[in-house]
Amino acid sequence: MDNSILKYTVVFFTAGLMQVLLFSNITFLGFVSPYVYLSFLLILPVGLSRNWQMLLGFIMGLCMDLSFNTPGIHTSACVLVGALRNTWIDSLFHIDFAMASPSVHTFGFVNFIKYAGGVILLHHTTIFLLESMSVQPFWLTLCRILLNSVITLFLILCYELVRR
Amino acid sequence: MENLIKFFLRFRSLMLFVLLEVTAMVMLVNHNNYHQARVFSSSNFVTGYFFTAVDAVTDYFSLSSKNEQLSKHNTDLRNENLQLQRQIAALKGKKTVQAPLNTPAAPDMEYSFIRAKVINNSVNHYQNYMTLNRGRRDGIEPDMGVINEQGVVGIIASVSERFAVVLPILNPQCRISSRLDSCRNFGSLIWNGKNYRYATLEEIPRHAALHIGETVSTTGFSTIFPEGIPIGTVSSFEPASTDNFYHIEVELACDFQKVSYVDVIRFDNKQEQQELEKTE
Repeated sequence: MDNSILKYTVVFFTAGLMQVLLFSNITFLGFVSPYVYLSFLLILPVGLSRNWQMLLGFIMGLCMDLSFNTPGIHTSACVLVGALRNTWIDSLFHIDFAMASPSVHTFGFVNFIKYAGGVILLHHTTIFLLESMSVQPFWLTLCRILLNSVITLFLILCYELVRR
Repeated sequence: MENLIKFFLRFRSLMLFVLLEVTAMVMLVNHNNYHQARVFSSSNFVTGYFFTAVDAVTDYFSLSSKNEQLSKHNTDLRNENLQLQRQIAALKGKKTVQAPLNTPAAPDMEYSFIRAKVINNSVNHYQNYMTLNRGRRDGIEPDMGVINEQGVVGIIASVSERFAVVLPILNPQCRISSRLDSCRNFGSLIWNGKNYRYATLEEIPRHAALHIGETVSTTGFSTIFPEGIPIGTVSSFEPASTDNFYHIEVELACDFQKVSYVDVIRFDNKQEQQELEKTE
């Protein structure tokens, strides 16, 4: 258990730093901004209690908000992800994964894409809706949500495939 | 009371969720309020230091473009400085201050600088060459002087449409007419082929009073360099055994290993001076 706490702490910092140092500097086409720090929330153990997930999401989101100067936006999206992730997993699969960490190996490739895709879409939708707040035309926000979700999913899959 | 506690226990996840989301929303709403938002922004203590540290690393990636800008700015300033000097010289000759500012300048000041970057360089051969990223279409021609902010670099040997090859001081084919600043005796400076920091100054007569540390600069006798551009300093000297001249070692002002941007000197009156000298 101690070992896994250490492991998730490392993932927390790696994901956060990669996001701030590397992926936030990508400004391809002017509106592509993948949020790969989400991989931390994605690989939390399946059986982890909802309260823990929300708290961890809150901390991660707060850290991101501090570095992006977007108070509240990432925090609320991450808390939402933490609250709904277990429900989403339960509705996707009817298997008990115990405390397994979601990955391509435990879920299978297609199922992992379904699971991660759903979480990413929820997270990105929350972020871009809060960010635009009806300032921008709706179809543009929709484009940004879909495009960024696909890119984030792609990057997280790349990370998943190189992970042992 | 018991029911209330039961209620809280039963819905503790929901409570936590509402609490966290409300906190997030409060932060979001307060973002527009400048004084409160300061705590939750990159200007606070921890994130501020974090990004300072990040910038200390990422700053290096943009260094070359910043260098380029600075070097361009430097050349522009040098050109402007020249123009101002010309105007001062022109104004000094007249009694009235209201003279038009674009009066022609003294013949020895009619030059300007062309900025160039060294794209290939060597210091460890006997015959060293340097390649610049500017050529004929930028106005560079053979026999133009090349300097940088430290001093004399060399002379343009050949040009193509976009590139130019420099004979640096570190090539024995390059002889530069130079003088000792204090006594005004002049000779020519040649590289000895050994150490890229030193060259030899020849033809200084034995009666010249010289001392170590003295500045050696250009004479301005040719149409290559204007007068008084530093070449180096005297590091050691001794009377030659066979003739009446000194053997002088000069420490070069320009560090050839680190040359990256240079200015090529373009004389505007070069052709006229050369034609006149030919007819004599």
